[in-house]
Amino acid sequence: MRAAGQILIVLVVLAAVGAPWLAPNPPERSFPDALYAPPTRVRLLDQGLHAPFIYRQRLVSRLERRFEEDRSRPVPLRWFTGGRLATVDEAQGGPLLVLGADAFGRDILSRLLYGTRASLALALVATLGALLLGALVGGIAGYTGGLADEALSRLSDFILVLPAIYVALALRAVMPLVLPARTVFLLLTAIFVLLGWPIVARGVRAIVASERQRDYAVAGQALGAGPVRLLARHLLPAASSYLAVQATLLLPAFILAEATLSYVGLGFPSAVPTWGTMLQDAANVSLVSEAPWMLAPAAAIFVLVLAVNLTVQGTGRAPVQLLERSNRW
Amino acid sequence: MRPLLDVRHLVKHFVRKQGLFRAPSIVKAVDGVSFAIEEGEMFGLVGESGSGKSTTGRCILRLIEPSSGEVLFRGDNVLEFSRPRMRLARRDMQIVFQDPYSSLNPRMRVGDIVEEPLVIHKLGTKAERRARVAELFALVGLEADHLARYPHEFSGGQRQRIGIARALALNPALIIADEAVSALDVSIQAQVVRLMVELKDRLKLTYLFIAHDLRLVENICTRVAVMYLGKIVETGETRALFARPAHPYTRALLSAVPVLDPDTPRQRLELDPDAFDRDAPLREIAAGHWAAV
Repeated sequence: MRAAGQILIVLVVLAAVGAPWLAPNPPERSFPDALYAPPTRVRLLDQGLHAPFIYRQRLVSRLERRFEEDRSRPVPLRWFTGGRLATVDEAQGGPLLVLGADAFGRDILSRLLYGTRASLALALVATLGALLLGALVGGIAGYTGGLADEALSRLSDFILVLPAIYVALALRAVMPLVLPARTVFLLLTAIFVLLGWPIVARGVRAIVASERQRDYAVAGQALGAGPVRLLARHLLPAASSYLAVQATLLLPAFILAEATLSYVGLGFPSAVPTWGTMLQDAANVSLVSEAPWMLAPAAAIFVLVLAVNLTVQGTGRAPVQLLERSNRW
Repeated sequence: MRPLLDVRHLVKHFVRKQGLFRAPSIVKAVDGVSFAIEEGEMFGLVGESGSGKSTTGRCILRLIEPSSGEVLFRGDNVLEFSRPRMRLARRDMQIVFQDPYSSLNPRMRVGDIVEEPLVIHKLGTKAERRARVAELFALVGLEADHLARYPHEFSGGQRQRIGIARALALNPALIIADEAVSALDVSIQAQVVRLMVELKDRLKLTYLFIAHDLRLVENICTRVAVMYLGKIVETGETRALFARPAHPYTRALLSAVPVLDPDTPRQRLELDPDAFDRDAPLREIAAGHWAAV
């Protein structure tokens, strides 16, 4: 199970990294004759086995969004042309839309691949930021104890009791609604880090505070090691497996948070493909039955969250047990 | 001659708050302890658990900040040292811990553990430090090809040797051995004690040997102080003190030492805490032999 989870994670990361090469079309390109076009089927059989090919999809009725396949002429896939893995000659076969098209006739697969980049990058950066800030604050609180500990712990408790998603919504809502994608990325990262660090800090504080009492930490002090060295070299490494577990909990949470915020229109601008903005496009009940391929990003979210959970749980230990293990050695 | 270490009226009170409206309780862990250790001496500090011996040792090194008193090391009061001065002073006094399991960082290779003091004090180049670590390993009787191993790969006695090597890395003058062998098997204890005595002669070390094993102290220490509830109740030459214990607590403690022959008639003395004055000052009952009676 663990291996399966790891393989899935690797696949998702590869998809994100290789997006420009894997995507058959540019993500922002819209095909005017392919609004809500269903997925193009890649075929192998046409009176015998062939190399992969497609039939051209023809728009029959724009009003009814009806498409027909032109079965008279198979159009073969082109491999490794124009810096992309698989494409078709558009003059002959029209756009290659493996997962169909959205309301603007944009290729959903290509957008999904690029969206993986944005969503995953945001979640990763935010997770890293929350871990760093949490480890720093928790380390300081656990090391110094006393008043600083009280103040930092109460602060993190305060943030912990806030309902995270509402705070994220509120924080995003006070900012201008339309912002460039880069600013949104930074803003969302900041919001996620702000909401994520207290959970990390609380655990790190407890681990550091207890490790600090151990003789090896006292020995370091007797040898003349300062607080920075003690923390970096001795105490925080003790919290490393705790941090690993937290990372696996935060990453899916941040993916979902991005999706939620973008879904309600407070995340990335809708022109930028992310899993959240793509789901926003699918936010129409009648659409789901007529163009279910619009839900592809939901499947992607599901796969990634599943993969992360499999990786953690597949060890045969729930996160809590992993935590206990991290305190022993 | 000026003693190497002169502890005067050392006091450590732990204050425990018990809520907003109740008066905080004060634990007098160390309550006015004074003693002096000459250069090259092995000074024993004995007492039951909770008597404040370990706290005394840690206060001397300022691992616990004492409430008051003086700790004169070569005549300078350690407790008044600034942070950088204290750092420098730590090179001269080191500690060996009781528990060989928790005193070594389980996530570091033992070579790095022994090297760390040299890194902290920025001594030597990487190669020089490595050579010094190998030398220290040989000194405490460990093999140099074990340097890359982790602490859990060693036995208790070996770990204690690693702890000693770490303490010796900076060439200290004073070693505080905080129950350094009491967690070890008896046979291993003897080996580690022999090593410590050997090192004392070779490296001109001075020991503050904190222990509760009286027979061990009797064998290796030249002078000894007996602590009871944060106070020294009796101190003097080991031989004289063991032969003629003056304080009721010392007598009770000595009567509790196990004897090998089961047929020996034994008389275990019970200590009656009300039978003596706990605030009595130390007075000299014989040359160099003081007791609080």
